[in-house]
Amino acid sequence: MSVLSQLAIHESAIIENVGGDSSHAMRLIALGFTPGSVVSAVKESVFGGPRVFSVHGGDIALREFDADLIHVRLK
Amino acid sequence: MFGSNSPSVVIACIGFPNAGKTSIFNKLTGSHYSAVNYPGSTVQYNLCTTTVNGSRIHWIDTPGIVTFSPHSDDERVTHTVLTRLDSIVPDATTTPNLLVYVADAFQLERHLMGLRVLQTQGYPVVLIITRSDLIKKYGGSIDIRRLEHEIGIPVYFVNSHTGAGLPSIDTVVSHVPPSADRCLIPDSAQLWKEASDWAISVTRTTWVPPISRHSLDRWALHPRWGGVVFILIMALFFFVIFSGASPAMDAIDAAWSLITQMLHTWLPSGRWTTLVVDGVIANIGAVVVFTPQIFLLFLATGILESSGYLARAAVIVDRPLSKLGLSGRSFVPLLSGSACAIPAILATRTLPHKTQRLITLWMIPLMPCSARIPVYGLLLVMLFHGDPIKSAVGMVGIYAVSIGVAVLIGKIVSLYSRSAADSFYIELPRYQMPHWPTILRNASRHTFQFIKKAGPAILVVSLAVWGLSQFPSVESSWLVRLGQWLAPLFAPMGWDWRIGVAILASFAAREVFVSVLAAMMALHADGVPAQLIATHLPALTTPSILALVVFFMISMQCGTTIALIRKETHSWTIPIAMTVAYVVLAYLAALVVAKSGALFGCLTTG
Ligand SMILES: Nc1nc2c(ncn2[C@@H]2O[C@H](COP(=O)(O)OP(=O)(O)OP(=O)(O)O)[C@@H](O)[C@H]2O)c(=O)[nH]1
Ligand SMILES: [Mg+2]
Repeated sequence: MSVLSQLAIHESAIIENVGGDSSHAMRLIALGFTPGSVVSAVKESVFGGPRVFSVHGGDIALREFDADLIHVRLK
Repeated sequence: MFGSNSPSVVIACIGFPNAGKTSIFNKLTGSHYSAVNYPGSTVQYNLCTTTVNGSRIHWIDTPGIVTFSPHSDDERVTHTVLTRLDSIVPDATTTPNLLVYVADAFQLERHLMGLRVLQTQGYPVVLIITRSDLIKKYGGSIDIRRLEHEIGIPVYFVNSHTGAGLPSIDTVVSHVPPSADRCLIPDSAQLWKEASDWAISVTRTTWVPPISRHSLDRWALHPRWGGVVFILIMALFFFVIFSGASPAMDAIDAAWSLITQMLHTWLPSGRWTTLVVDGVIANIGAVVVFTPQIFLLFLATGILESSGYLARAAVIVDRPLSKLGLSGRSFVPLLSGSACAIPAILATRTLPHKTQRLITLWMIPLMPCSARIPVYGLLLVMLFHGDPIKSAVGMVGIYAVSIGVAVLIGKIVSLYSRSAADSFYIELPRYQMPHWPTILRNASRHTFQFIKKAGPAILVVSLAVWGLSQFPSVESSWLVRLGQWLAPLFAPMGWDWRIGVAILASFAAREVFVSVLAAMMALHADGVPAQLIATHLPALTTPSILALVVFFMISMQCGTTIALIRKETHSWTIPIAMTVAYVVLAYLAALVVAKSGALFGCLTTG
């Protein structure tokens, strides 16, 4: 199992679970990073800042801190 | 249906950030709150009351929410509306009688999760899906009847700009259930997981997701060019404001001098004519001249806001801002501070962390707000003798230095506060063409508010200045005495007593600086039209002018800002510390600039 931040650009994966403290995990899940859904990395970071991921048809930028909390299984 | 003694009916617009709640609320109630293509544009509730069939119905618009366990002040507002409504609307029940859940057609699956969680908690809901005008263009579709059947609640698919598809308020009210049992179970990861499964299953047969490639992101979020694009957009933004406005400003300037001159020829000359024409009309003119710039500022902001670029800009500056302990979420409050500190301070409600909010609040008063535009405008005329291109470049320079000072202060504050959190996420809205009717209306409204706000201050201060200048006699008036008493304070910067008086007056409102100078030039230089103040001022050296620029850049002179910071932070210490720090710092910085400039001048000429 790996985390979302390891996803290469244009690669997709299936979300397994979301770690971190429970209220923050719930927030990421509510944003669309729900276990079982397909996520893909769509944009490389600018200046090593946030990267953009596509999930449930929406584009969401995440800092590495948050992307590290999302555990995924590569497709 | 609703008796006169029973609590009044409240219908609340709820939904994820940027779903279109404010647009729907405006169309339903006929209001004009600003709808912005950025997640987190509404930060307080908007309330509107209508009468339907003889009963009063309250409509309430809320800030967008991601979970129902709030972590920032804007989300807390929505949470209060959902769970302790009676603390906002005294004659209401504890929860709204009906929720208008607003969802974005492009993100239907994601947005329906929130709907499901609310339904599980027992809220009566109707669903309004926005952006019906765009979905076909992008190859998507929604089977509304079938969706209605699957969810079991009324569903409307609307274009919130035109109102097409929107139910009438009577229809919405008819969906209010007579009574309802809410079981306010807190939301949990499990609840959201179930909601997601449900959302996937109901959309599978009813929704063809439109394809929304954010093709502009190839440039806007390019790993290397993204930063360059950002700087170009920001530079263009400010350059257009300051160079684009000059024709209109020249026209107003000419018209105003014509008016004052005509009044001078028509009215009998004397003390009262001087008061009306030079004291009041000319002073107001000195500030009205700057309205084109202020209009353009709000117009350009409106275009930027509706384009969807702001969220990308937040992503770009996230890394640099993290060096100050901030995140990309502070970008929009800081940028709106370059129009006015008041909405900027309110926008800090979207910041989830106290420390981040505090650092941002310290930076906002340093952003070059529109009240400084007339002051800088006048000072730039003195520096560049009215050359429009040089002035525009100078203005961009002033803005760049202001931002630099704000960053420096932000860094200092961050060193003295506990480190802020490491999380940052933001949804990227679709790019969109500006919706001109809304943008033009907002820009005109803001410009009008600027005049309305500045007008009374200018009037009162110029009357006071006139009064002080006439008694006991023009030669040795109180104004002259006051000025001479203040003179030693300002002499080190090379500012004469009139500038000292104008600075004192500018603590009523920054723009008053310009009108007071105009008044004193008119009074003490034999009725020179106010527009000529720049040329009639006692020769100020370049270092003295630069020192004035720096003084206005840093000094805290806005009472409303101080009051609002006290309200938002629930403390007097922060606004008082800020005021003292910024006034003292402004004075010292001006002193340093004037002295070192003079030294430099000596070295180069001698
Ligand atoms: N074309 C189109 N644009 C829409 C429609 N509804 C909303 N928008 C745009 O979407 C953006 C967001 O709308 P708002 O009404 O501010 O959204 P909100 O839900 O109040 O957003 P927050 O207050 O940030 O939570 C604005 O730029 C609107 O012009 C629609 O039906 N069609
Ligand atoms: Mg809104």
